[in-house]
Amino acid sequence: MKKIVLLIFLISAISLKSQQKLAFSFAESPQTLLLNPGAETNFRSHYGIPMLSDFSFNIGLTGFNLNDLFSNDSRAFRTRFEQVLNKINSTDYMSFNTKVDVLNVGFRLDKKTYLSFGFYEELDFISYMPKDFIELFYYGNEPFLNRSFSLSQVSLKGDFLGVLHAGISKKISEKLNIGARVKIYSSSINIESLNNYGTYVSSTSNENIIRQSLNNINGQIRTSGIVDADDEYVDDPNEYFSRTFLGGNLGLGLDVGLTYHFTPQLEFSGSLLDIGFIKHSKNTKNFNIEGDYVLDGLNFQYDSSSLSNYWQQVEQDFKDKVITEQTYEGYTSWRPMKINAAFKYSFGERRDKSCYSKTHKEYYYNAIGFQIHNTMRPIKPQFSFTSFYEASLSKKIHTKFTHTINDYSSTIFGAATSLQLGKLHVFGGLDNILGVADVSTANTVAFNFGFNIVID
Amino acid sequence: MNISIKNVVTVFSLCFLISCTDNLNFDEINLNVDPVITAPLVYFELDQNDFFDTASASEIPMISDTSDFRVFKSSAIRNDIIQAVFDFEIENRFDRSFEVNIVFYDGNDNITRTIPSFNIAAQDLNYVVSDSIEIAAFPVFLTSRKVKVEVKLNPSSSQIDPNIYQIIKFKSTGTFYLSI
Repeated sequence: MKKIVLLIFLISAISLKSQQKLAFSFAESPQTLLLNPGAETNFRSHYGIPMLSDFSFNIGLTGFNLNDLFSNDSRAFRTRFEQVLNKINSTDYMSFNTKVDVLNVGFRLDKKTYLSFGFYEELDFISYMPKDFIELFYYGNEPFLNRSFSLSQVSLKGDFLGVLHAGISKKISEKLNIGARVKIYSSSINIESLNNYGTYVSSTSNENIIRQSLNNINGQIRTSGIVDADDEYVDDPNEYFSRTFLGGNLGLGLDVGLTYHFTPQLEFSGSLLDIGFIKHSKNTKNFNIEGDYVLDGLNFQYDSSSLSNYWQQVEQDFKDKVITEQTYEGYTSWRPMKINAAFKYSFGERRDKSCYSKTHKEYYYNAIGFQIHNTMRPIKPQFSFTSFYEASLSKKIHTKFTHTINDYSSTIFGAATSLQLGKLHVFGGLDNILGVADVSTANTVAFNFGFNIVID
Repeated sequence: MNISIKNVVTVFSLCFLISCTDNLNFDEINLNVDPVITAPLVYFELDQNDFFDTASASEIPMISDTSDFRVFKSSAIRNDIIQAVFDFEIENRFDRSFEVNIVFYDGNDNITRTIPSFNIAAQDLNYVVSDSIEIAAFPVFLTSRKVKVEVKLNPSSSQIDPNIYQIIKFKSTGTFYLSI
């Protein structure tokens, strides 16, 4: 039980964040197209190595780190746990995201148009810290007379889905390149508990010593995919995977993006990703609670002519006023939309690159700039600001160094490299290099890599 | 520059191999969750008419009422409870004294706990008392399924006057110390 409590505490603080900051607007790699469908491409075609063309992993935690909870010191674990509990607040969260590109290919339709399509699987989960209810469970209500515990702190969303996508990147002019990507989502699992509200209070009262109140409670957990058509929980992992390829609940999404050159050296790129929804109609199971209730206790009447079972009355009254139910209604879930934007100023030695059409394009060996990334999340958007420096070591070796400020930390340093090894394009990036040196004190670690065959 | 896939993989592997978690200790995870839960229990307000039988024009010396008490029907509570503390507050605006008896019973009406009687003096507006039960010492208390509260009007030379408004208010809470 104690381990379960701990597990709930840890899991309840997890979320997902699909920021691939390092790859955005970098080195015209095939991965960039998934982050900005309007990214410029200067290759004839690309073929992703199946399962390896783009892999990203990101785990993050705000409010505390592993060292706070598991440090090897003389304090009792209980003391550490209580210090962490005291430290966190309800907008802290844990997140987890991983994305595996199963298939990714692209080819040039004409001089100005590049098409790409593929399929990737994504696991994404975010849960904010329901500090009120963790404390209520851990300490009980006795120490918190007259404190209001808010159900709105319970906010989580998890998805396991497959995404079939097709995109187009089109050069409009020498300055402007635009693009769009259509996505068909196939949701295998969705769990979400959002927009809950209402409070629980133990307060002093005139009727009895204390009063317990549920005020305007409205909570729900919506799920799809965890039960089958017979309402039995699915325990076969293969079934979960098989549903990600058009076998689950389907949805539709759109990515749009552009790249604009103010001057040959000053570039803006921006994208909106996952503007979309999933319609959950199969294998849904929802849990709802709604109502108000005031409990003063068992009000003995001392009426010998009408003996009452007061406890039973209270239970019935509670059931009448606080409706709890399981439903199987379908629902729509929105994908967490991402906003990316970057300004980049290139400078230094120029270089030429032979492109698909036997033309040449001029590049600079160095660039500086900044990027913003924003992922729409249930309680508040996850915002990151990244400044970066890019340096090309040769025509085929590019590097990028970043410094990011976000919810996790203000000292996240990252590095990425893009290599052209013959026709093999390799991309690799690691965010929070300092954190990797000691993950116990890091609030986030992310990495991203990909292997693609690129035909110039 | 001679770069191979092997080198790239080596660099990335190195990043994770040098990752350090040596300072973490997962061996002593022993989290005792000891919540203290307090809940309102029995409350009532009685006036002079509750102790006066108009038909016979005489006092009613004792009244009692009973209810189910299902706190310990939950095996989770039974397994985790360490101590139960009952707090009582009584406001007596009668010019008569009372005795209050609280008795817990199991499902077969066997007594599982008798809380020592309270004697509330006339016009005692702030009678406060607690009763603590260590479960280890009185495990039979966990079989409690009913509670009876008996209110006795102590004998007096002055009789209840049904036309003179007087009340006695009774409040109680149960505080349950758990160790999960």
